[in-house]
Amino acid sequence: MRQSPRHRQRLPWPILAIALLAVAFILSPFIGLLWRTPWSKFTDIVSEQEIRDALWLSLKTSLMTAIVCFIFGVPLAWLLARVNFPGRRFIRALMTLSMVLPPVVGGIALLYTFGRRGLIGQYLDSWFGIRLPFTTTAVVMAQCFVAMPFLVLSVEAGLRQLDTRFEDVARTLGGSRWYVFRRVTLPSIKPSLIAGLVLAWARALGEFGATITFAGNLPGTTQTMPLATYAALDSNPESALILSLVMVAVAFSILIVLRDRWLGRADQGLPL
Amino acid sequence: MFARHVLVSALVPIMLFSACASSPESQEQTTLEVYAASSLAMPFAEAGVAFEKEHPGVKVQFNLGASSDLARFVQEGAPADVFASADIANMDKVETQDLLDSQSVIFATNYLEIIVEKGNPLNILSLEDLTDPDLIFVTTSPDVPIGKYTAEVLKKAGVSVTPDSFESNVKGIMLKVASGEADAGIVYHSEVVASDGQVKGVQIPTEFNIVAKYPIGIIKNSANKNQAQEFIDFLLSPKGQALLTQYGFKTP
Amino acid sequence: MTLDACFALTRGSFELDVDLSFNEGEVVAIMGPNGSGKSTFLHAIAGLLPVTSGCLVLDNQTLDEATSEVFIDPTQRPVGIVFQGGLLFETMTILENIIFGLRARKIKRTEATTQAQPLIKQFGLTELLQRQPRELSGGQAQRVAIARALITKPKVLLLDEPMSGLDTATRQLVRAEFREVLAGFAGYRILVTHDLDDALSMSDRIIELDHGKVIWDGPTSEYRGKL
Repeated sequence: MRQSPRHRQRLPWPILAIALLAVAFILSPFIGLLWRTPWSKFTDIVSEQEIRDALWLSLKTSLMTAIVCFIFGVPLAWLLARVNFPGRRFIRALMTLSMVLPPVVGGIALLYTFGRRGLIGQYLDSWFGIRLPFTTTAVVMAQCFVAMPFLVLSVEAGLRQLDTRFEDVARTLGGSRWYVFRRVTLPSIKPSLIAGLVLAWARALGEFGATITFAGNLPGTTQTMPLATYAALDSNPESALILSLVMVAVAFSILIVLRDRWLGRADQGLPL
Repeated sequence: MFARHVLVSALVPIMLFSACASSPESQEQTTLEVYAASSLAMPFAEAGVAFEKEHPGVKVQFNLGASSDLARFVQEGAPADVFASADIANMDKVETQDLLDSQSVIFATNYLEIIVEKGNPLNILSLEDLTDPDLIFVTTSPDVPIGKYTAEVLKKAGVSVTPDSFESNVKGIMLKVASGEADAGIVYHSEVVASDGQVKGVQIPTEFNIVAKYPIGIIKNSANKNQAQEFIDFLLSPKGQALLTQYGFKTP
Repeated sequence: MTLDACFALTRGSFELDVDLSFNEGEVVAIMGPNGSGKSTFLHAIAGLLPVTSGCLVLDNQTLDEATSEVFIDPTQRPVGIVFQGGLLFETMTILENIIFGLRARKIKRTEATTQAQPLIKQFGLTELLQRQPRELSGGQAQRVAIARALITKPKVLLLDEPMSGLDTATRQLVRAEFREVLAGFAGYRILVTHDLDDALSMSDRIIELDHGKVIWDGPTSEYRGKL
């Protein structure tokens, strides 16, 4: 039976109205930002040393975080997806907890664990002379703490969805576990992996609470873009606006570039 | 038919939002919103209790933070009744924009002190000792009063110190030094008193020290100007002043 | 030389219990309803599942022995398996799929491509080499899957429901091809199917499984007579 054109076009009005309100709510702050930006001073402000320091530091640390999350997160995701070990549920709950925890709380926890007098930090200090707070390493640690769960849970979901028979075939063909993982499993979970990496990277880029509490706030060393924006708010509101805009632009452009190539597969029903 | 649905579905979120916004006060009780610098936390808490006892029907609510943050909130239209700043500069920001009801008054003063970890393990005795590059010294950004005062003191003493972090407010400095994460910082004398032994204070010679003046003013848009004035009067009264000196502040 | 499968394999509440022996000369079809243990049997031979008791011996080499804990990894077993639908690696080209077994043994790409030529020609896959698996038809995918399995010169060729998913016309064609392939393969040949026509037309011997036990084992001609 053919559907009449009118039938196909009938939209549920209440849902549409609420959805539009939601879009307006999310969109309007960006418009407000664009409206207040001092465009004439844009290049001057962007070339200021503190802004450039913050931009460079943010990019450096967030990329480092993405790499660390990949190296440590993928094995963990594999373990959670494939091996039924005691405490698996607990680890997964831990990941979720870390994701919903207010970042400042994460920062305090990191401080009292890895700080100079911290649970582990005191030994790092007395045995190895390693002091973490106020260093760029601490920034990466804070970012990893909040970002890793995004990668782990995304990759785990991808692995779970994978048909394990592909790996079975590969093994019967003579592929070692590592070879199979590298050439069959990883390429198959590319969408989840990329999505997880992008989420983790974006979360790391925007990280504020844990960074300022654990790593501190020093231009050039620990003052990432979000911290610089907050610091500029009182002294130099125009810088704060420009910084905010730069962050929006960077995040937006990366997401646009990636979306078409990798995340487009999300429409095919793959997780995230 | 559809229009009605749209109206209803639009009203729901609007009603929810307005419910979340500030609720009107009951006729019996007034709430006084006092925006105060972080360093005033302890004396104001006690002052609030004492004031409420003397003025039944008035509840005092404090919003504490860096004076620069608070000044910004007031400029953006926050519903404050009273603003107590840790320096004149931040009060000026508000006063020059004609946001005060009448001229602000200085109700207390403070001076600076070096703080170190309990027991002073690194044996820091003067401002010069802070110049050690291996020393972890923390302060706040110059917009926050304590950060500006610290820079003034160091300049007076002709001493150059590189901070390792710019905390959000004076409490951040206290936390870092008390927990042993930072070796030293410079805060108000009142903070040392309030810390009750958690940090050790090292005196700064008077010739290098500054006097921090704390102004307080009533916000023009306040709906509770009478109660606000009463609160300020209380702070200026012998009782209020005694409370402040108890916490290390000095009379104006 | 024989392939002796004398073992029991427990998976949860299911138990497969067999005592079978295979010769290189025969093509064996294993039949039975879903859940009878056919796939489990193939998995055990391939080494994807360990036996719970008993042993699996190929040409006097023990592949799996429960008590002595001897277990040869699937990577090391000379077993090739063709799953239903082909199960080609979707992120690789057809050529990469075919030479996978050689590349896994660290043979260089050009060398592996050369070694694969006979099989590529045999199965008429030359034009398809640079395509992606999703572009292929069911029949084409099956051919690639066999080529991929044969490239490592296995001693045992296992086929798991090779015709499933194919329409009747394609089935006839593929069946003919498979018969040729199986005839040309000098090793143990076991195919698992629930389709009677497949079993009758492609095998010399039929084994019937039900609830993990062998309920019939004999020549196909006898089975035909039984029907």
